[in-house]
Amino acid sequence: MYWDGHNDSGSAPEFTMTLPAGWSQGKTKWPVPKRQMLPGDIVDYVYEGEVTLLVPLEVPAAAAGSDVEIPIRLKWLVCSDVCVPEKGSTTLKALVALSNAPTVEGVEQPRRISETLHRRLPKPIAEATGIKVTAGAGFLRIEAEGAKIIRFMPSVLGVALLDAAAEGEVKGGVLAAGLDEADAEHPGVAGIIEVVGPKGREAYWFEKSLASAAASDGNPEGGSPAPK
Amino acid sequence: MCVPRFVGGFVGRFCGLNFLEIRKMKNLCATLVTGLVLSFAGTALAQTGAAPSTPKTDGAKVAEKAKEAVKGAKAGDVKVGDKAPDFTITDTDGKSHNLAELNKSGKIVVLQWFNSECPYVVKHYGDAGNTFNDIQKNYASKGVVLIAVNSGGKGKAGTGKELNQKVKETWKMAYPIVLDESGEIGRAYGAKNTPAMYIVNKDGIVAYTGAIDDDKGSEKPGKTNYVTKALDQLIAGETVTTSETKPYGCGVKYGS
Repeated sequence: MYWDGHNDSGSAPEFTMTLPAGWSQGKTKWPVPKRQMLPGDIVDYVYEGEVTLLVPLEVPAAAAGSDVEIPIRLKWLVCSDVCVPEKGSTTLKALVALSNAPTVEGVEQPRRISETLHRRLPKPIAEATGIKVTAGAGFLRIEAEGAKIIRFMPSVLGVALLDAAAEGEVKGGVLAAGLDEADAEHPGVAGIIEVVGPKGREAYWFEKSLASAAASDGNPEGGSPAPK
Repeated sequence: MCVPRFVGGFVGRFCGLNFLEIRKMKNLCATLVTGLVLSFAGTALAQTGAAPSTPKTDGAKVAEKAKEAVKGAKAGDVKVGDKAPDFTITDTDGKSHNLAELNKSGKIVVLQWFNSECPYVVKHYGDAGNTFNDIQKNYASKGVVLIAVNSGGKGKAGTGKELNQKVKETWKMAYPIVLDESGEIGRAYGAKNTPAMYIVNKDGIVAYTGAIDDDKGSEKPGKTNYVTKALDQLIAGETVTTSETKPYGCGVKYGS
């Protein structure tokens, strides 16, 4: 299955939830995908086997303790040699629990599930040590001390790499890549930085607006690394 | 409304939490997402990054590199305005096609990267729509030649003369399918998708690259067909207003 990034082929799973009145849905949080390069310089970001997506929901206080049913419509591609498009619908039946409830009947150890899933998500770039990121109009540069491999996986929230095949992954401590031009739909750089180095495999979410040209060198880092 | 929860801090009057995992959605394909987890997160995830600095010279160097790439410096990735890479290739019926000859005889050539086993191609034939056969039907008399290029490597899905001959017949394709098993033509154009589209004008110059239309899904053709729009403009002697879009579809199944 595909990540919601600038893939050269395929498409990410889509789903629509019909939420009760007063509820709102946040940006889906996708785990770190695998960068896959196929003959013909086709670069995709994929999940193998299964993937769990986290969907933040904002719930009215009054809903606490009540049962809820949320209809969900889904579309997805399952790919091997070729892709098979599928679609379906289901209803999520849930009990809205209080945050401090130690155990709630029908809810399977929520904290443990959450913690496990969060380990698979990219961490905010602010938590990175030994990694320097510079991004501006047309370019991205990542330096990671002692890195064996650096990857940048661009999200659809931001611009694409101009040459993902040649510049999306490097062996060594510096990744320098050209970026596509920002526009209304892709106002900045957004994506996952993956580093394989002395500390093992690390993955961080990096996001920076390119709205102002002045930002290109003056304040090279920044933005809110809010996972989508 | 609810009070957002903050990670590692204030929990207080947090309004609701909903963790539930759908382990097996019985009415869905078993190979799908086996877990979709809903969690309450509120605004807890907004964080601010630190600010490492890098000398301007580094940024400038990379920016220059980026500009070069924009100009189409990347090999094997044709851009609008480039001379279209020439080719001579035989179709599944044994007929030879040479791009330069077609241009010389005044033809506009539309190249459609093709794989009959790709759902993004399939949606353009039969019940859902007849996109490509309609292009052939409506534009052949206006000096347009449509060629389906299959750059799949030997043994890959959707390849082989026999299969493609059969598909051409079943899908009532009145235009040729050429088998580019070595991937030479595909790589020369930088084709990555089926269906990736290229229009070569009468002068042998690339006039359009990108998607066939504006529906990136696998179910139905889009409402706006970029290729017919560009063809209408080329035939009328006008400038192609949308000359570059992002192609969508399956990856081309190159052999190596």
